[in-house]
Amino acid sequence: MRLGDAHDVTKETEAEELIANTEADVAACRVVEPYAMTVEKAARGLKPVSQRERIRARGPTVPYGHHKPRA
Amino acid sequence: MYRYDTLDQNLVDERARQFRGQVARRLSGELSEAEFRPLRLMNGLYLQLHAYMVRVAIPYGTLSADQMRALAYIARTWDRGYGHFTTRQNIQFNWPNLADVPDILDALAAVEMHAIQTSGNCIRNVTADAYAGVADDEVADPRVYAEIIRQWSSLHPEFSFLPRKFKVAVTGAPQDRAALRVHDIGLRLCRDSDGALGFEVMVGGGQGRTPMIGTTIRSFLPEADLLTYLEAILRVYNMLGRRDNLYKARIKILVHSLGAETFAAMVEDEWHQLEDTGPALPAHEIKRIRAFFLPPTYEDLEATVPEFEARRRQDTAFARWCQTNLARHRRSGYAIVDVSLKPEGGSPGDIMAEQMEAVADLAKRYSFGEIRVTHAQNLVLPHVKLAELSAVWEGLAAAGLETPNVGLVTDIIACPGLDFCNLANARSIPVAQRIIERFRNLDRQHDIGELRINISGCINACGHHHVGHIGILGVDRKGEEYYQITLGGSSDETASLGKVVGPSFSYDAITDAVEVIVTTYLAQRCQGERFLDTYRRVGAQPFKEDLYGIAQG
Repeated sequence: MRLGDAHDVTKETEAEELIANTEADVAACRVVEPYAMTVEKAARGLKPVSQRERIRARGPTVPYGHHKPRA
Repeated sequence: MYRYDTLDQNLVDERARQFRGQVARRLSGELSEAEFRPLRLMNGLYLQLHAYMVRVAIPYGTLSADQMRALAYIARTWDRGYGHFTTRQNIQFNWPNLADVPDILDALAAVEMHAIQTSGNCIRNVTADAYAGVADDEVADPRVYAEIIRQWSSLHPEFSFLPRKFKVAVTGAPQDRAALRVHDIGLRLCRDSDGALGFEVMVGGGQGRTPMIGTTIRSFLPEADLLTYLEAILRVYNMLGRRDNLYKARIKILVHSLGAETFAAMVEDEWHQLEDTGPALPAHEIKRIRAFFLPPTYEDLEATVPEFEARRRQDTAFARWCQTNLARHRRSGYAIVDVSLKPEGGSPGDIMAEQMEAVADLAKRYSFGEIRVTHAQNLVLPHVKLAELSAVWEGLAAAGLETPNVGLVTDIIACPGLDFCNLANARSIPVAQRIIERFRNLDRQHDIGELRINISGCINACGHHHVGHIGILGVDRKGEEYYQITLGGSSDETASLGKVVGPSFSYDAITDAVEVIVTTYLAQRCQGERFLDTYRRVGAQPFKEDLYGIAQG
């Protein structure tokens, strides 16, 4: 699942509905503990508002093991 | 080193088998995440920002070369080729697949290791002085007692569901290299006026959102009473510690609210009731455990080795490394080697699988197969002959592990922070990397001298920011990272908590702020003063003035 696959909604009730719709994926262990995050629309799609969600979406900002962070 | 007996091995094997079944049930959907969570946490398996994370216990920070090789194998086979040593002398693997975790636990069990009690509200891995058994100021080897405590506390039925997690540290030396005063219980081995061995018992230290320095509740506890007294402390805590508020559940809050004297009196009462029924620690049992920690077969060596001295004179890089990365060994002709895991561009505490193997090889060849993990996220080769230091240094250099900075400004303690951790508010690692880069000049580092910078990505303080000479705490401000600075913390025998110096700094401003603090120190210091000495003499005011201007002082 990528950020590009995300649905954006504006109302709290719609967010709750999105979470409710993940029930089957949770039961099938495809998703663990889903939650809604705040995003804003950027030139290249949706962008999480918080640094936490940006890092969660893009991965660590530092090299680790043999991996280098995305530019 | 301690070796498992049948009981230990069966317990660890059985737990690994049990967890394999639990993982299979989780993967099949039979267990929900809510049902699985307490089971995985009992085996040190966390769910972090990007993936699962396994935290492996390294009892009192002691590893054999074979165990280090097994950790390298795990890193390469089931993780992404590296591991992360923590401030509690453990190692964390950040990227395992859930399906592989049972294999990881089997691989650990094969070398007498596990991940039990590295999470949950139980007695966690007991930590100790990384120089245990070799420090020249040591009264007795703390690992003997740390191992006894490990055995007593492992799956202790009464203390498996405490109000909150519980951390014990032990040292055998007056110089505190184990941060005793910021542990739930700190034990310092000492002798009474008759020369009998015992412990100074400190209780109620800790960091997190309510940092406190532990109080001595008993200046001398005879060694035979160790377990009954610990049991008494844990019982009082278990009965009275708060379970209604996560943030007030640690023993430090109980000790503070009751008052240390009242708490101590309650412990003494409980202890007297345990006199006949508590866990005995007979001399023959201490002797049995001590036999595992007898010194290796040292050679009788001269205190001065001409080849070593000559290289030190002729080779500046080697001399620089010797200056910071060696400590005095209790045995003539030997040295304690600190292996820095804080290279420029690296993440504090991280080590590649190949480097683990290099350290294991060097330990096997030059240090009786023994390795230690320090609470400052470095490694130690505890018994190296002076005559073989050149070879060890070259071996470390070949593996990229020769960074000569132990105790200096670039030897930074940092938690994984927001790059990996689910709890963090801000990144720690890139802040450490920027500071290390800023102070990369080794002459400058030596001119600055001993300076501990500790960085935590949130108030839980895994990066020990409260006891950093300069502490940096990451905070969230409307989704953006900011950093609060504390000054004057220390985790040694003169333990103190740092004080907030003023408003926080942005991610881009924090490195400059650290440089201002260092520059202020250099301007203020008297001959021979370390940063901490200068801070304690002049106070925060000159630092505030330089950081924020006099108007805000």
